[in-house]
Amino acid sequence: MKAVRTILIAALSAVGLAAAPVANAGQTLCVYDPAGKAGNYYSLLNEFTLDAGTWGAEIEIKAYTDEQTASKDYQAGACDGVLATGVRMQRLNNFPSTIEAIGAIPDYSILKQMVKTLATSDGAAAKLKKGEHETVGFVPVGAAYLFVRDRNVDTVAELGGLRIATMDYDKAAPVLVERVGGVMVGADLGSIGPKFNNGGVDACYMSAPGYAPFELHRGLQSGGGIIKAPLAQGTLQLIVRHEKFPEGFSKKSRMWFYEHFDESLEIVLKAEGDIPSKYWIDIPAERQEEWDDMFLDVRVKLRDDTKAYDGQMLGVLRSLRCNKDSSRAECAEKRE
Amino acid sequence: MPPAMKRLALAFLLLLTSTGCPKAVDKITLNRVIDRGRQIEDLGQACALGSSFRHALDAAGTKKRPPHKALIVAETTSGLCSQLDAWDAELAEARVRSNPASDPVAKANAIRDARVELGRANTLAAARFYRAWQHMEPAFGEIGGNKCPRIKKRDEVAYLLGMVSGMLAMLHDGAGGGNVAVPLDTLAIVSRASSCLDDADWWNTPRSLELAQWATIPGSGPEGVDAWAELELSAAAGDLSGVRVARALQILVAANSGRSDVVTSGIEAHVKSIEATPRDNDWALLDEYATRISGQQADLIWTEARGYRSATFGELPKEPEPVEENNDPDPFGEADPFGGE
Repeated sequence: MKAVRTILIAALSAVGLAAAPVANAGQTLCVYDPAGKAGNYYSLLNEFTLDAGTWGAEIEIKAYTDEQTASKDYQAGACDGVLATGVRMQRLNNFPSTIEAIGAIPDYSILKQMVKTLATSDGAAAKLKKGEHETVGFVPVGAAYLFVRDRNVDTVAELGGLRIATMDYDKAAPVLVERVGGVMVGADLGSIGPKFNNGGVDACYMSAPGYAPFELHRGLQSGGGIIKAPLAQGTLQLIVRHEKFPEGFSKKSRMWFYEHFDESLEIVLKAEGDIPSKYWIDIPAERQEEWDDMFLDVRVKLRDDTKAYDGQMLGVLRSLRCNKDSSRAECAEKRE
Repeated sequence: MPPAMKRLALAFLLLLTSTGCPKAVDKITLNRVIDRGRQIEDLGQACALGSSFRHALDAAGTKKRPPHKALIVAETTSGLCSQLDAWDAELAEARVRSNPASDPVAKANAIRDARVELGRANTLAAARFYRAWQHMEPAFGEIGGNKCPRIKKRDEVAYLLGMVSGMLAMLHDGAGGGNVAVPLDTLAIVSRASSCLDDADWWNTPRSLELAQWATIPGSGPEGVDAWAELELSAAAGDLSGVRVARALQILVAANSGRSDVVTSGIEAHVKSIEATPRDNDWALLDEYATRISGQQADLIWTEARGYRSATFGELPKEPEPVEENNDPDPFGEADPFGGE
């Protein structure tokens, strides 16, 4: 009798489970982390899935150390969302990827403000959705800096003629390299380090967390340096097929990533702090303007000619920059 | 006490009487302790030995000149203890995760708790393996530089264990949240430095260590080299030796990179190799270790799919075949097939 009762209770529990209101159960995310399952970003997403479970999303994550494969798998429908860099995913929606626009965010406080705006603004929410895709999270992975093998190169003019390693899929890179008169050398994340270290290129761009794993000190050792003017803000962005997720998921998710912004930034700041100070090349204030002008030219061209950047996003970023420092030359004119 | 263990105990007695002479301690460890210990396939004994003798070995040298090579061996084998704990914690976490969620908040908390346990075990494993790695430069000189250090034949095993420890230190530290702060260029250094050993002598393990970095970071290897294909070739060559460390490394790297296809095919190849090639009893310890690495991944696959492990190594969970529809008359239907009323 006791056994029958146990079976009955188990059966009733099973019925109860089946009837529980689990909306859209069983989503999969392809998570790009260069360090794989042992990486910080995979771990962050692991934590994310736990809270998302309480919003009715039963998410499984799959690690990728190859961003291209993660992106392809997402587009082929092998997963319902993907964590990848904004630059990689720009073809799906150039509004969120414009947060990584060249020279548009000079410091992390502005980046944080922007991520908060994207998490809270209804207007932004509408633009983060394009077709079946929606961007539901931004993770800072550090400002990309220009690494040069010759530390005497610290002006825009001196970049002329240099061989610069650029990501093949980065639409902004050709315009930037053309503007400075450099020579583009195609690369991907894995080959940038070897090319820079072996002298195959004179310059490359990378955020600080890439410095140690790609051993960029080897390319800097013979008199190189890192120009301390953020070229762009690297972000990992979580993009999902919104119909696969429960109602209200997107907003909660963006807020979740905003609330974990500092945690991710800490990794970046530690990596920046770990780079020996001798390698940093400070740009004097009077020369910074020259870099800012070049960045502005490139952004406008990418907005108007190739349509790689979203004009509205650029406008909001300009407002944030000018709110923080109204003495910037660009604040007197309104090109964005 | 089995004869091999008796010989080990004797070797350690010798060690303890060599106090103050790090070179002698290194020599005895590599000549006698490794020579005997490598034949014992009981990982628990090896790890217990490393853990308990680590301090004794340290004390057998001087503060300025500890027996670095002996300590590489001791720290690596003691790391094994924490690694076994980390594997158990990993399976425990997977079990909690695979439970259906009747209460999502309670489930999330249970997973978080399991992850704390896992993080602690990973951090301890990382610390031990990293200490082994840190003995490498004092023991051999610059590691991963333009030139290979001079490595005596006798010392090669310590060099190999140090390489494996460097890689494991990075993996466990990453999984543990980076508390040990193992430098992130360690895998790249291991990749370069491993080519200083001859593949033929070490069951293709050096080549697999070299390829680990290239496979993990696409594009980081030489142009035209398909690191995953090369890892398979290296593992297959290693399989023939009866010491399948290269196969285990392939599976480990694939698991970390999310290449479940490579993990699955690697496990299957490992099982076939065990059937086809007997274990090299001279290196039973390392072959057993390799089997445990692959077995851990097989256990994880089972636990994620079913919530429990398989008792048989290498058997992977499969979807049950659909039962064909039965068109025969129902013997329990209304008409009595036995002709009763």
